[in-house]
Amino acid sequence: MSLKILIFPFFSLLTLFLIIGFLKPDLDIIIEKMDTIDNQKILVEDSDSIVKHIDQLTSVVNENAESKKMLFTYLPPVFDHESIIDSFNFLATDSSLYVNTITLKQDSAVVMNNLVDANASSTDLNKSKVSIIPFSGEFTGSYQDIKTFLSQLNYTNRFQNINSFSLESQQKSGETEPSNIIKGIINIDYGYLKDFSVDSAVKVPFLRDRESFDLSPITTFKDKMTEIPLPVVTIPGKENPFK
Amino acid sequence: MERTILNSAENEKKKSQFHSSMIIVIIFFLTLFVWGGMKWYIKTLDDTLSQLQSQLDGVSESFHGNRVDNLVAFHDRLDFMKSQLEGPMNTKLIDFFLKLEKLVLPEVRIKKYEVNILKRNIKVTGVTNSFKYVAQQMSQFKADSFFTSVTAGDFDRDEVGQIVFSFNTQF
Repeated sequence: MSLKILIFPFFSLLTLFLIIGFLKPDLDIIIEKMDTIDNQKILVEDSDSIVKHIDQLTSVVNENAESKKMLFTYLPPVFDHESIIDSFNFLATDSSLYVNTITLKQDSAVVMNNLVDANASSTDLNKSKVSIIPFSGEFTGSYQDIKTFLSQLNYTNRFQNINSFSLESQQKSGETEPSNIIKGIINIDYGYLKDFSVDSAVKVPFLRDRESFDLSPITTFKDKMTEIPLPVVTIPGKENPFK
Repeated sequence: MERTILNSAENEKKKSQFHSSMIIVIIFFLTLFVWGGMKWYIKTLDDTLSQLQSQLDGVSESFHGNRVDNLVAFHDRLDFMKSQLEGPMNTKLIDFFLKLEKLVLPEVRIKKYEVNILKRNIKVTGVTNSFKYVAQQMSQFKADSFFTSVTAGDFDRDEVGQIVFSFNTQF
């Protein structure tokens, strides 16, 4: 008789234990696995198109070898000090300027994180960060020569952000008349983009939906580079404001 | 009569206890059955997962390597170039020279011209012999639509008595 009374609480407790201890964790596992399966199914469906896109995009890149070269000159995978110094010095001396100092801060490379597009959430694309090398150059010369030099500086075939520049007329102590010599300082950010290895193409959003590259920025850049570098226009006003 | 009523109430109570016990036992076995079903379903899901994984492994070879790395490198540079071409840092330096040449008065000589493209700020330091020209020079810059504001800086006389002035402009 007393055993019969125990049946209800015993089985109630057992059922409760079963639900809390086994049913609920298993239900969580099922939900998790179903999510994984959904994702995997999407990946499998995408994988064919990704492989197809890789082939198509590779042939686009191969067909546009010149554009590729231009892009890698624009943003090289390693920072080449020598070419920066060389091109700056070449442009300056070509404009009859005297380069006083050049400062390149390799250690102060900062990261410019505007590469990752809004849709990209993958860890791979987050690696795509442009490292910035601040450059500073000081030069002296006449106003017209500096004007020519700085105008040509806009037409460099690599990425650069001209942050600031200043011009100051040089007056020797004791002289009342201003000299024709102007000292100029320019601060430019140059950049490079380190190569990295992609873990999986699945994590790269553009490989899922892009069949070709829009090469119009390269064309625009090319057009910009081939513009006549110095519009030697003389507008009404003072030809040399420092005189 | 009273005894019969008591017996019948006791029987009812026993009956109800028996029913409750039966129901909980049934619920327990049902729970057990559901759990077993879930275990079976998990196994089925595992099979599906491994099947999908093996399908993915088949194509994963083409998912990394030089070809993909090159494409990403190309794409990233292209995107960056595009963003830079559309960005505000595309100011042509010649424009700053042309503005200066256009706006500086014949009576004013520029001593220093500091252009900060990043902060969109220009500081002009000049020399002249009358405050009249200082005022005129500032209003020349104010009148130009390229500049959004002109604020006065320092005014001083140099060793030969000329007025050295400066002002800041935003563009």
